[in-house]
Amino acid sequence: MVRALRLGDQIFGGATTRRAVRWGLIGGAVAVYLALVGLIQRFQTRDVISGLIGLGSTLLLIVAVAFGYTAGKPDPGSSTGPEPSRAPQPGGVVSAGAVAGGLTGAVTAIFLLFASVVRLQSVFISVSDELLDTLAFGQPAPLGAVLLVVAGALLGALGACAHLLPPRFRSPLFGGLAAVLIFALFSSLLRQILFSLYIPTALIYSGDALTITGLVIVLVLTAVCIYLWKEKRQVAGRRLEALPDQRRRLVRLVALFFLVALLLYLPQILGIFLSEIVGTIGLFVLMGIGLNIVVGYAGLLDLGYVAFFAIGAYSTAILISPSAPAGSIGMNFWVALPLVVLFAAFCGVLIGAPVLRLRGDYLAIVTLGFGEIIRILVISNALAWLTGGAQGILSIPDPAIGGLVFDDSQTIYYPIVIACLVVAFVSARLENSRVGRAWNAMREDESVAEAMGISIIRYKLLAFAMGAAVGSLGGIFFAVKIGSIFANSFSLLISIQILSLVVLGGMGSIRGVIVGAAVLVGLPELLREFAEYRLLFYGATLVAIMLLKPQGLLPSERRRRELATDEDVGDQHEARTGQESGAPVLAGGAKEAG
Amino acid sequence: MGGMQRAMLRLPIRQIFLVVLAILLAVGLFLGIRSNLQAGILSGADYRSFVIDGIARGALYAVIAVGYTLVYGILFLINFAHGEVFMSGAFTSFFVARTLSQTGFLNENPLLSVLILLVVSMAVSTITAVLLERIAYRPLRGAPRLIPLITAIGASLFLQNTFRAFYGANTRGYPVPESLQGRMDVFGIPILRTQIIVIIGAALLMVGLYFFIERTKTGRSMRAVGEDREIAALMGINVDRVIVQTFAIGGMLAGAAGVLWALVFSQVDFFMGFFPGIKAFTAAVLGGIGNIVGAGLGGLLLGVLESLAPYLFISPSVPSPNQLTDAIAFTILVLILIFRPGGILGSSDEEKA
Repeated sequence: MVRALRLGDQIFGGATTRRAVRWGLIGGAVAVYLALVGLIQRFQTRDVISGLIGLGSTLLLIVAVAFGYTAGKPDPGSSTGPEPSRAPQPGGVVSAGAVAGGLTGAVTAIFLLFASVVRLQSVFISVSDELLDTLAFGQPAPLGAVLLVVAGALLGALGACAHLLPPRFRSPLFGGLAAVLIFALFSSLLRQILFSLYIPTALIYSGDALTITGLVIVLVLTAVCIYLWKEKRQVAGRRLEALPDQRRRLVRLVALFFLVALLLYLPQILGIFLSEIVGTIGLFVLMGIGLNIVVGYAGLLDLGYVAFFAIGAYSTAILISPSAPAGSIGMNFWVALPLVVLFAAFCGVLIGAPVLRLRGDYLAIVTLGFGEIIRILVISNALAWLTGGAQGILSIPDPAIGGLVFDDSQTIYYPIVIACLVVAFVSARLENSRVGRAWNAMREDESVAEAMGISIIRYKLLAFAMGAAVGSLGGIFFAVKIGSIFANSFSLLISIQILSLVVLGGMGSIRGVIVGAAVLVGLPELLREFAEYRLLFYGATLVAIMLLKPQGLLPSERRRRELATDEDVGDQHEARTGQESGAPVLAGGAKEAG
Repeated sequence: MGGMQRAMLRLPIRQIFLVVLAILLAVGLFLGIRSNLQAGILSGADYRSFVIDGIARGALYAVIAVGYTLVYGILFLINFAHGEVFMSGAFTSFFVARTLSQTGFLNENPLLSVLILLVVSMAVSTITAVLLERIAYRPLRGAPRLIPLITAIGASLFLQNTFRAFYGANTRGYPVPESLQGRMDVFGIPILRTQIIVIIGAALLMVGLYFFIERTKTGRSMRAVGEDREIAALMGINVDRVIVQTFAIGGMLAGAAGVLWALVFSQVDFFMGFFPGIKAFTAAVLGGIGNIVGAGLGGLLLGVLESLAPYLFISPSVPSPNQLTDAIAFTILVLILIFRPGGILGSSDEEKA
């Protein structure tokens, strides 16, 4: 091993080899992990290309390609900089990729050989014979092991080759490949949509998998589209800039009009099943925007946010359901709505008031405690006279305006979307208002903000109240959408789910919340067959986002500026910005502890 | 002038609010406990066995709490995933215990078996803790405090579901050696044998840890890093290594606690770490975070309070008070953080929180 390393050093520089070996071993660990948690075998039940390759094998190959790509990344110093300043040496890049990919394959091969000798399934439930068969590409284990190493090396080299492509071809290629995967993953859904658009699907799909022609079509079409988009986008942008003010406003209005029209017709396009999902996404967008006010704007980490969801849902149910355990009040939904929102805001102040002085992490734990207390109380027999305990509250009537009853997923969508739009508008206006700036200052440094004359107590309470009110909206619509509520729907996981989507999209960013909700709530609903991996995915997302891109996928303008990456810092940026903004906090913490 | 007046007015209102709240709570508690005792639902023997239950559970909270306290003392990070570190060891050791039990070794050599299980569980938990530090926390050293906390929450969810995918979602019955089942009379009080093992084991671990921190060189460097990381680095202490050691020790103790927990409750699953984790954190805060003796004290106090509280604090007219046990633990946590964020043994300095 050592000698091989030294040999490698002589051929293409020590650091590169060591990096390649390291990435290869990590890649192998990732591949084995995916096999052990059962993802590979679960994915294998689906074909990417009909009768040729399953999704599980594809996943394995993607790992090899990805780590080959990572290892082949030239000049690690400026790894995520826009473009490496000097041209990469083809030989070095490709061989680094091959080493990493080959090692990934080799580690997997060792696992395969080991598992085919020692029966692991009595401990690791996913290591079935079928899994070993998948890993070995359907061959006997020793041959499969050799295949793994060879295929790994080839694919790793291939992945590294991407660095040799001119950059303008790179993203079309990746986009095309991603599109192929998306078409394979969501085959049944996309087939339906294509069918309803009168596009023949027989050419692309056979059964639930792509045909080879389909693969080529999807790959090429997407790649060409992305290429053209990238080429023309700037031109179009410049042309828009060049337009006179009035015309530009007109363009905006037309775009807005189309957006509104799309939103209005969406349930009809999507059908019942998808409207249901979009409605659920809408609920989470509502709560995400609410939590975003607390976490993103004011910087108060609330882990008990589900409490407001529960308060909203239960107060609504108690007020409007004829079968509420404490006796029917039978209020009209639209009368109950503002009352519940006000009550939730009051609860937000009530929960916020005693913990005002707590900072950061202690606040998180206290709010988590509050959230759990509310869940336990709601489910307990002690409060069953009010909340129905484990039986929950049933037959919550559908809201209606005159003769218009919002009784199914396609109609309840409208009030939810309107609520989302209103809340998003208010939240966006708040961000740039005096209040938003005060929150911002408070988030950055409480003491300084206080010294500047910002009343910490008032603004913290305001954040809690606003967050609670918006979060309760999610609960209100949840109650009338589902029609019955049970205490089990209000677990800590909801809090974490909402936090995850806010974090994924970018704290403080409303667009981010929408994208986060679509990805973290919408995708799992579409991929029900992989439901058991949903929480694993959440956990991994939270960690990965915090490690790689703490500002989130779609950061708000302000956050982008705060966490801006210098062109040359690349991956290290968060460590640096972290040190800059975090050092005083830590130093302060140390002093206080001492 | 006006500003100053307002500033002077603002603080006392808060203090008065807190004091009034505290007085109300104290009076309510006193009256409640008195009426519950007078109602006499439970006999003296019942109370004794509840207290012992509480001590056994509290001892385990204490051992887990050390992991939180040590890490918080150095990094100011609530290692939210520590409960999962505890779970990883206990869950993995189940498979060893099952094998031992199938071969009959478990019943023939109960103490040796428990020792083997302890070693396995401690090893797995240590590895989990160290990997956690290396992958999830080290890259974020020096980032704003919210970021590693969110990472920790994600890591907790990730580990839980990883082990669920590894070993399955079923709850597994943990085999307990026959000679450790049943009760034994200690000073005339019948105590479950597993509880005796747990109390003795936890006491040994805590004392061992105390001497490790106080007497060894590693322990001293850990205290130094906790005191001031930069100065410690200037003194030639390898801070990164000390942090890894801290996580390793916390993981080791969590692993040991995992086996003891599994022996008492005789079942394991992937979610078993969550509540003990939060309770142990509560214990750490209760005793004063960053303080090992405090962790021990807080753990015992929380354990006993938890097992007695449903019968002492809650009016007998409330149906099934047992369901509210966890709510009581969380209420204690919230109250402690509001009134005395420094904990029993910590300073009452609110700013620290």
